[in-house]
Amino acid sequence: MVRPSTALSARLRLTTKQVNGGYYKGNRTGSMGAHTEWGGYVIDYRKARNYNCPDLKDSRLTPFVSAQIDPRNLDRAARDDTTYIPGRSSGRAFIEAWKNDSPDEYSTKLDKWMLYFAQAEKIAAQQSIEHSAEALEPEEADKTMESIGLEDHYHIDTQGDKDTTAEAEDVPGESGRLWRKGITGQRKISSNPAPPQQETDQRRQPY
Amino acid sequence: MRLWNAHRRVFYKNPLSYQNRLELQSQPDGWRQILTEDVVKFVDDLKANRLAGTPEQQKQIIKQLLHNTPRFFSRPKNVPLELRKQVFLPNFVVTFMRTPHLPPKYASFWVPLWFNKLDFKNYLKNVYNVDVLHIRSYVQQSKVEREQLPGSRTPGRLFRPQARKKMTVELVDPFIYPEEEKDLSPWESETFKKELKQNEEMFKEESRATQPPIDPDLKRRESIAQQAQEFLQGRQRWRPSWQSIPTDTRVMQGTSRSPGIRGTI
Repeated sequence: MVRPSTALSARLRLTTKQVNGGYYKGNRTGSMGAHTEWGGYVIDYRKARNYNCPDLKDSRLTPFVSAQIDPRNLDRAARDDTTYIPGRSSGRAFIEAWKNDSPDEYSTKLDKWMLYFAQAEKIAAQQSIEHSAEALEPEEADKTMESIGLEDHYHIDTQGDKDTTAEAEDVPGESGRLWRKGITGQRKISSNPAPPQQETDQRRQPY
Repeated sequence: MRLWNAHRRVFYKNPLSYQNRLELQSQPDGWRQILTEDVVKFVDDLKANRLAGTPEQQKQIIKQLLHNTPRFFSRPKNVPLELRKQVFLPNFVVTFMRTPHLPPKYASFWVPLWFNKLDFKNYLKNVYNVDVLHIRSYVQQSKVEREQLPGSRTPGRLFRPQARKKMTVELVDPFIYPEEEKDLSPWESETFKKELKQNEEMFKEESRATQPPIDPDLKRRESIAQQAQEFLQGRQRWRPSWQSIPTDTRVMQGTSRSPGIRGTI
């Protein structure tokens, strides 16, 4: 079959091989040195790139990763996993969310616990007056949770709940705002099953 | 060696007089005032990374730098890998080609367009631990093509596909190619071929609807010939379409409405 010949003239962008003098177009390989006075070129090895290769012995990874893999799906799979530990959230924010999601359960089970929270808040407020400069350590916060008896409950029930994984800061007296903060916070998108908590300059509150 | 291109130069331009420079050189830390900031930083980095060696070797390095800075940096042994630009997670494909017509010490690759020879040498050494003697690189321009949109009669615009870079490497040691894969079933080659064929046929049918056909429709011809043979041999009896098509039959008998045009019958 006869194939039509390709077009000879077309207004296309110039390639690296077109035009003779006074025109230079490279392939963006980068500068690796400098031109000398006499038209030569001296390589400066400080400008050269070094490709770091990890130790690939006994590695199960292959060099090819499909571009279609969505890291968010990996995140979802991690959430379904039983070993998944969600990011820390305020216990109170979680219960407030529960209250809004299913008010019946809240009225029967959680009223008593909210009293405990109120007590703990009082203690924390006293502590914060005593040591106003120091923030409560996360371990100490855990201990207070244990003393109330909510530690197990907190860890089991937050596994399924995605929205409460967002960080929320508890401000006593602003429960409505707090709930909104806890719920509408953006989901963390990460392939890491247990994302490390971000360290911020803000003081960590006990709940 | 003085470098001409001030914009990209690697060397210092010495603003000091000869006497001044001699005086500074005699002082223990005088070289810091003679050399430019980036060179001083390089020496400091060497010391910080414990790559400078003994005090005597450090002195030697500074002496070389004072003598001729560009020459010092143009020797790869003088600049350790740690003090070059670091690349950790590159995203590119390097394809090793089967070129049995080349001598056993030569291997050729398709590499990304922005690769240069220094890149490739470092890449082969760090990833595959292969020593390289010499590299040739060639950029192959592609020919002008025309866009062909399916279902459009008008010719598409002209464009030039991206060029490709080929690098041929002379290795220290000769090598033998790995054997070619004969069983391609783990990669589902058959389904891939099938899909290709189906896509081709789909494209042909689509283009036949809009453009004048280039090839004759052989399938249709065959089916017509077959039908004619069947009629001639008496295997099929001719009936009018209102009898042969069941929906039409029902409509003509008055048992159902016309499926196409509602309300007319």
